[in-house]
Amino acid sequence: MNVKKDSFFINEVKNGNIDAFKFLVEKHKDMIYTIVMRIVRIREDAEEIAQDAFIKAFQSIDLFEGKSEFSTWIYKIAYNLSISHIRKKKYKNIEIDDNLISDNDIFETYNDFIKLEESERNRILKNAVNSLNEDDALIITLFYIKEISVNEIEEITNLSKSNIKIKLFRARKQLFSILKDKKELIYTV
Amino acid sequence: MEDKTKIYFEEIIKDLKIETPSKKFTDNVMKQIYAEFSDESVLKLSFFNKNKFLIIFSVVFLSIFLIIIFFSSGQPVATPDNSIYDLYLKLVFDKLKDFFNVKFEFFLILRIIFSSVFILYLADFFISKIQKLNHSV
Repeated sequence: MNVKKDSFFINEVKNGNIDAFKFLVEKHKDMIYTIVMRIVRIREDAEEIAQDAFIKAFQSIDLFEGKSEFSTWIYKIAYNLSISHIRKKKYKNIEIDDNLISDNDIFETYNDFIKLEESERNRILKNAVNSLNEDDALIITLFYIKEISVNEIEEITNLSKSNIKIKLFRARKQLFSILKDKKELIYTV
Repeated sequence: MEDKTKIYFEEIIKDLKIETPSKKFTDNVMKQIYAEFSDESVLKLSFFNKNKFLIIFSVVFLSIFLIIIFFSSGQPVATPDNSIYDLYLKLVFDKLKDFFNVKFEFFLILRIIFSSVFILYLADFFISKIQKLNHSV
């Protein structure tokens, strides 16, 4: 199957073929929406910001020189818009103490988690990731789901490589900590 | 133990799915883009959108060429410094006048048209640059 690269559609848009942008929207909309959702958390707001990210990308497409991937460039736009949005709204995050979880707890949580039904696992995991702070939730998604390198995450978020690695380490522990709490809730209900 | 945590984590995180926006997402984005584009085209002179370099090069070249030809008044004076230039100019001028066989005013009008097109192009170029700066991320 002949799959055209982003650069083909970008050149088309630059040459005045606006319809070519539709292919870029179709290709990247899910990941853009996911990035925004990880940070903003409210579906309606996320939809609006994700749309704004595409419109901003369209308006600035002549500035895209192709030094990085188009996906990295547009993810950065979506990230910046989302961060500005939550700064305006002043959302507060619940601090999660990851020091409380022991290695044994991690093992038990894992064992209990994999025994759950797939739909249940999806639901619990989504809620758990949304309980993390915005940057941690986003980094987890980019690194594990989209398999984006630490270098690219650095480019998108402007966080240093060492900071990203620390956040990944902390987010893993925090997620287990949240899952452990959720597991206790499931079994006590 | 950290390695094991990573392994357990990788197993668990597989169940995290990418979010999907509403079905109308793409249509909504494209609607806004079409609206945006039609707004811009009111400001922009859309016939100058493509191959800007080629257009500006041609217009500048033609304008200079026509200015040199039609504003060189009087008979060429042969001096050691400019004799080749003047002779060449006279030759081109005479050839063109013979070729078109029309009055001098025609060339003046032609020059005004080219100059106007060039000025319009410059205006369009700067407007689009300002718009890009305003929209820059």
